[in-house]
Amino acid sequence: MVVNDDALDRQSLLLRGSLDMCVLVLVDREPQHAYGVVEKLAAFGFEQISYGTIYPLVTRLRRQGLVDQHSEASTGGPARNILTTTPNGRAAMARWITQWQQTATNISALLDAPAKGEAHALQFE
Amino acid sequence: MRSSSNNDHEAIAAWIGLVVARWADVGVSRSDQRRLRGDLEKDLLEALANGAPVASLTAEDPAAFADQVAVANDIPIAAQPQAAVATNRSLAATGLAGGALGAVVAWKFVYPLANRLPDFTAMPETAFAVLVHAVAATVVLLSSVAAIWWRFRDDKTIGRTIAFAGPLILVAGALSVAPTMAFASLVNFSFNPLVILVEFAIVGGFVSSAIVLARRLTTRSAQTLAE
Repeated sequence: MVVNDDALDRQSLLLRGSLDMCVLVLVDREPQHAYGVVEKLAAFGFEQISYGTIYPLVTRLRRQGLVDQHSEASTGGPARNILTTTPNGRAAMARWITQWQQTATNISALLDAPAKGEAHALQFE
Repeated sequence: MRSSSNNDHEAIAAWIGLVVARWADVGVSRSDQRRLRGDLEKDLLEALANGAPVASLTAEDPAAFADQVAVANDIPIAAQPQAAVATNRSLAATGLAGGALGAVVAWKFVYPLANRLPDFTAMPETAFAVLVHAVAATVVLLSSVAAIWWRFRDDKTIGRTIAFAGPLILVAGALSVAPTMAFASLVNFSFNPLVILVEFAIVGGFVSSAIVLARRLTTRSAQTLAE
């Protein structure tokens, strides 16, 4: 997909308030490393989200007690830092998803509402 | 999982070095730097071991990344002082201030020292006077360029400006001798403060012009290189 700079900026702006929710959802579905989150986001079309964006975000979520990080032994490599959601993280995720869905519903209703002229035209039909 | 190369590890280490340098610049304590560095190093090396391309791991601007990680850890970061902007006026003022400081040093130390030297050389008086003036001029020149370098050390082109300015200031200083002495002779070598001020202004004008010319030559050479 070729996206111009304006579209990327706009997408970043839209994501800014919801990226932490997306990260919580991904980690809750499958405990993983920060770079795994980057790869999962890319698989959902968010290729512009880099490790440099996710690492500080995950750090903040850890400080807020919403995700936990623990080392897991791995075969043939260094111990793996695995991120998991905490009970507080799951509660926050549920709240944020509800908020997101409400906002998305409202925006969809706004976008789907007929323009003023169209509404009159419908009335006189 | 793929094995990462030494080059990858070196690239990661270099990038972490820049991040840590930024933490030091913005006032993150040494103990916090160590902790954040340890966490970051471990995380990056694991990502690398799991096949993440080193370019994507280090794509972020290290300074911006360091700030974000510090803030995410609730560590306050100090605002960075603005780097001095090298304009013709600021460069000339800095060069003159440094030169004036050097002149005071030469006047207070170089000349008195020369006068106290025992007459142990067979050097002719004129040659000795030239040598003493040359030492004094060197002190003034070094002080002037040191002041420019120190104030504008964040400017990547300042080294080239100083390379041009050094010889140009020497030439300007030499050229300023004739008009200054002519003026001094006109006023019977008076020590009136106003006369001294005018003499300083003549020398300062020559030196300032040399510094401005050095900056122009720097800009021109940078443009030539860019083309």
